[in-house]
Amino acid sequence: MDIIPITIPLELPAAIWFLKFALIAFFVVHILFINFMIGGTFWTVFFRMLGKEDPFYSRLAREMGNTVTVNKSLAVVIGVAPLLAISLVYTSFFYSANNITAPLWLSIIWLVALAFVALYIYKYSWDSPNYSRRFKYFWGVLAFAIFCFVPLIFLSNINLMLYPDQWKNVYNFWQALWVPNVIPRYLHFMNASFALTGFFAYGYFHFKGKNNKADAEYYNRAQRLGIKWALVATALQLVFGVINYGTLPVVADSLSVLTLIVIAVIFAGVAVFMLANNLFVKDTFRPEWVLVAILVVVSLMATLRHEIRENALREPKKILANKTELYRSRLATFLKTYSPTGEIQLTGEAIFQDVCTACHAIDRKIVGPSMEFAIKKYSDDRNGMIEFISNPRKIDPAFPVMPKPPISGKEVELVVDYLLSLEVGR
Amino acid sequence: MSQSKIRLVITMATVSWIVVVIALTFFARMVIHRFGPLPEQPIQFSHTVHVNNLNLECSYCHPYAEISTVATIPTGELCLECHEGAGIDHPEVEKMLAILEEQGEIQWDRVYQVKDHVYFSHRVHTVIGQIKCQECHGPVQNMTVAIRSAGGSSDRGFLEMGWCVSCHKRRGAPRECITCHK
Repeated sequence: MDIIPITIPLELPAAIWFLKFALIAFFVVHILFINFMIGGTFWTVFFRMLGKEDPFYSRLAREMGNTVTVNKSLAVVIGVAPLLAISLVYTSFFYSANNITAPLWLSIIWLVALAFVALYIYKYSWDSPNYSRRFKYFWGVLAFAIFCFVPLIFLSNINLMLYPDQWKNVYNFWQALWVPNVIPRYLHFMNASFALTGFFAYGYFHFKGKNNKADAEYYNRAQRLGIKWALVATALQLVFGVINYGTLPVVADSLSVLTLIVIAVIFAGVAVFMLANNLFVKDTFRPEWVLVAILVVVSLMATLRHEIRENALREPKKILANKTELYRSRLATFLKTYSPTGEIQLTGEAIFQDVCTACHAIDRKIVGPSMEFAIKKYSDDRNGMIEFISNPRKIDPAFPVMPKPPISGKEVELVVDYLLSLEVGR
Repeated sequence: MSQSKIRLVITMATVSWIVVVIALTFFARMVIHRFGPLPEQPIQFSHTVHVNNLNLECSYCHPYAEISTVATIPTGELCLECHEGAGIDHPEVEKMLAILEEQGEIQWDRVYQVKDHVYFSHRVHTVIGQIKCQECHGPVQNMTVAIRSAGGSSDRGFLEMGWCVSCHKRRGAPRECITCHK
């Protein structure tokens, strides 16, 4: 915790509760589109390969590819809001973590730009006879690989920021990956991307199919494929979710975290139940209900992450506030001593006011005895007073022993000379 | 299979899934909390304020760590030595004064302990072994509420034998059973 920096308290542009609310709300929307983007990119490449055998997959891959370019733009644009909010609410912790992983953290910019270019090449070279099949796939696979890697950079940063006690052992992104909870959280996220892409495909092809009755067979099959992916990946969260929670550092856990998980599991169960019925029995449940249930799960998960953040940073925040207060008081003292010539200007009286008055007053007892008493005692013993202040010890059982004051020998002398010059206690 | 049967299977499978996930979640929580619950103190006493800001030595509040087997948590009387006058407008100090007034003593939640069959002396470690408090208790000077940060405690806050032994080994301290066990 030594490594926690001080903060410069600046006024926030909005109330803290609003920033936290914006952080959660915009993050929900952002992460949904990120999930659709990652899963969608996988679908468009994977099903295009299967399309060699079955034209259904070929069409599915193309339609999914068209959604990815839209989803990725929405994900990035909406992602700006939670990024700004988190950097405002958790400034000192967020930027400290960014510093540690800086090269990779900053590489997100060019990596995402490259992924977007790759995605557009993949999309617009689809029907071109000028390029080989391998060339076309390359860009799709590259975009998917980058989309898989960038969340790992984000996650390692956001996780590292929560545990300042780890900062002294972590010098770069690769080491940040081994901070507890990063890899399990990443696996949980990636699996969620496949689950949510299944839900997305289900909803997307359902609503698209409604306006296109002639193609009912295609849309029905696409929906069912979405349901299957959603079902399998959601069921698998049993493993990833539990490992993710089980590797959470204890300081980040609380009853609210547990409660949110339980509620989210129930809602996920409800969504899965409705999906399974629609797949194996008949369309009993409206897709809107399924999508609302899964939206509730994602919102609960985002709130859960916020709870974890607040829990983990509770103690570091107190330390940050205390360090800042200490720094400011020391700075104030320094500024009093500062002069352009480098000469110490602080008088014995000023040092006394800064350091001693927390426990001593001239004319009355506070924590320690009054200075009237001390001046009387040491009126003819300047050296005795200097010796006592330099190395305090228990003398009077009525008072607690004085801690050694954080001042130099010269400053002790200035204080003693100031006190003994006072016309009191004699 | 009839539709009602399929529906029954789906219901059973979903309910089982929910139950298993929730059960495993509770199990995961036990795993997280294997180091014991975090201590919950009645007052948010800040170590960092007292050590870093006020320059107090550890032994100022825990004098027995250097002269006895147990370090002891200070009594309210020691707190009052300063806080009869100092910081009395601070909400946590107000809370402490109210507790001392009403209950006579503060019920601190114990952070570290050894089992009954273990003989452990603070004095032997701090004075003879010259071991700093932080080696076992972590950077307490930077903590607000003390947390269990060292000691390899695996059993609800009790210190683990393996952790003791590894340090004894490292420092060449005796490792016979009767050194530590009653």
